[in-house]
Amino acid sequence: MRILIVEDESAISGFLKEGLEEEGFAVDLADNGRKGLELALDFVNEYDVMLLDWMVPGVSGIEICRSVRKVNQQVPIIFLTAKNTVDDTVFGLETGANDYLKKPFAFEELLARIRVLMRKTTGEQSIFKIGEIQMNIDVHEVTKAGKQIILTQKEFALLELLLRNKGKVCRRSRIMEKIWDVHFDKDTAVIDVFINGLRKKLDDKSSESFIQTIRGVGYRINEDE
Amino acid sequence: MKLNFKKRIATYNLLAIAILMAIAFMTIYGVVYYTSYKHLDDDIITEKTEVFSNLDWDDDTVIMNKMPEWEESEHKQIEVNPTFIQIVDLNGKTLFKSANFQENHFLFNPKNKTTVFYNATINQQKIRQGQFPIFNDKSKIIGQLTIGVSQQESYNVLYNLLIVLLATYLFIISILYFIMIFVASKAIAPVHQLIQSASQINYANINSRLPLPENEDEIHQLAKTMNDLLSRLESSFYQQKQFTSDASHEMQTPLAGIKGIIEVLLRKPRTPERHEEKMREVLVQINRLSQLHDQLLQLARLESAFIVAKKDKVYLVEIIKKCINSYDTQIKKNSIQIQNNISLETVVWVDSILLEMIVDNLISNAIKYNKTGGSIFIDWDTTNRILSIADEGIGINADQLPLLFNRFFRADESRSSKIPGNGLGLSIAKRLCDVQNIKLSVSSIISRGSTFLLQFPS
Repeated sequence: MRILIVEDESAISGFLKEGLEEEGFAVDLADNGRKGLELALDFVNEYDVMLLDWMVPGVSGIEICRSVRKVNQQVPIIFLTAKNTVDDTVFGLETGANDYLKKPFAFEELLARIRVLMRKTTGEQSIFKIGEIQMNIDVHEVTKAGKQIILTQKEFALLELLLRNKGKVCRRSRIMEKIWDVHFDKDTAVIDVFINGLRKKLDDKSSESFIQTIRGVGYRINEDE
Repeated sequence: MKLNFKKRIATYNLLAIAILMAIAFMTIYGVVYYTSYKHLDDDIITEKTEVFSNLDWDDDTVIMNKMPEWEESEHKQIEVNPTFIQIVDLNGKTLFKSANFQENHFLFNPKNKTTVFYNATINQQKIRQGQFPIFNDKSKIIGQLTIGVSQQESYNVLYNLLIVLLATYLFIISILYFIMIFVASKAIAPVHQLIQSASQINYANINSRLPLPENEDEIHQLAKTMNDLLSRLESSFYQQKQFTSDASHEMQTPLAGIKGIIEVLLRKPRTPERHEEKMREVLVQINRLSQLHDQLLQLARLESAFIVAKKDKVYLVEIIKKCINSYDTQIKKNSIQIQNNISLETVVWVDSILLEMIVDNLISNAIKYNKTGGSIFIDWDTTNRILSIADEGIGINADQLPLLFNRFFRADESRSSKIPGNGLGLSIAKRLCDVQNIKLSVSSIISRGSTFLLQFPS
């Protein structure tokens, strides 16, 4: 899951990036409006959420929001701002934002809202089951036959992506875009490392792996028979 | 008695018209009165001439000749246009009395020496009377002739005239009163409209304006003046609102940072090194809040209190050295060269504490926004009494220069350059300069540096 943060205050963008990465998001950070607008438009279909500060130097968050909405109606946009009047909130929502969080906000609340918005746009549930494996996105937990399995952030994100696209092939390029941020080099070999990690932790030793390799294309988790 | 404006206009107008009308009616009545009595008096004089032509005298005795026309009906009757004649001698004995008198007598003044006319009543009839002294050839008064004519007709005319005039007067005045009130209420209707529109303007719709009447009259002017006032109110209202919103933004940002840093830190177990690192980040934000608080307080004091700037003899170089010394660590850290070209004896007469605050702010900016290894040039122009502080830093965009001294304003370059600041320092410096009549100005070339000028009063 990939997130764009446009925020010029390093004190705020710092903890946002840190906290969200711990939750398995790939975070792209822009500390001014121009860079933010560039990233937003370049990867408009790759981002799962955009967090915009209203007042950033260069291009304002409002303008970024408007530009994004011209090309993409779906991607959830949340305003993070110190502007705190009702008028500001209404104005922010009217420009096309899905949510509006006033600074200072609780990080857990931001996380909850991001998850709600993503669920709304993807229209999918937050609990997935495949065989004995159960994944709960909201509480960030994976269990196998009732026993909790500890996954790394990237493993978790990868599993979520595959489960959300159950039955469909996830191309390697798409996995890169969704799980790794913009600064990561394009060596897709890293995907295989994490797939192996997942297989080790979740596969039954006796049977075939629940993650299928589609050679040269990507990976797939099949529907339960 | 308190009358509203409408009734006051009506009453004053009515009063003026009432007085003018009264004068006009009194003149009419007076002219008619005079004319009708003049007519009667002329009749009496004609009669007198006739009587006198029939009078003669012997020493002091009045001798009456036979007057055939005395037998005429007008002297006998009392009903139609009667003429009464009475002649009395010096001793008060009645020599002649016309037949229509019956038992009545004229009242008259026996000592009268000239012709007089006056009004009297006989048999309930209104009479106009003329009295004439009778002279002998030695110009001695030997008797009195009194002639009376009925003035019932003129009396009736005058009486009716008076009634008509009075009735008309009262009628016109009362009708006028209502017309006046109507006209006055028409006249002040635009004022009522103004009141109506003005009373609906409050802080929520302070951007609305009063409708201007089409005619460019006093009401138009009033509405325009009120609109100008509203504009001034609106702009100061928005400045205040902007200040509050900016101040709140400046406060919320470090608070949000502190809250977020700690929340994320506490979500999972961390190493002691990580804790220390995060606490340092928090400390930076707390220092920032504390500085903001100090500067807001300073600004509030500057804006609310009346500041008396003292006039001390200040050696510029001392102040500048003091300020430079307090930023020693940063100067060394960024290897900044300071070229202080102020001579030792340069003296200005200002408040030394306030000047120190100004210079401190300008020098700290010159260090903060300078490039690493850059220079700061401090010069004194003796003829124009200008202190200039120039840096080789990031500079300020020309279109943002006019906004530089606004509270909370930070140029885009300074915001994106990650240099800490809240945009209050220069607005405080500007205010401190204003208090002492020092002109603070700035010129700048982007990415070449900025020069701040302080022009001292001579």
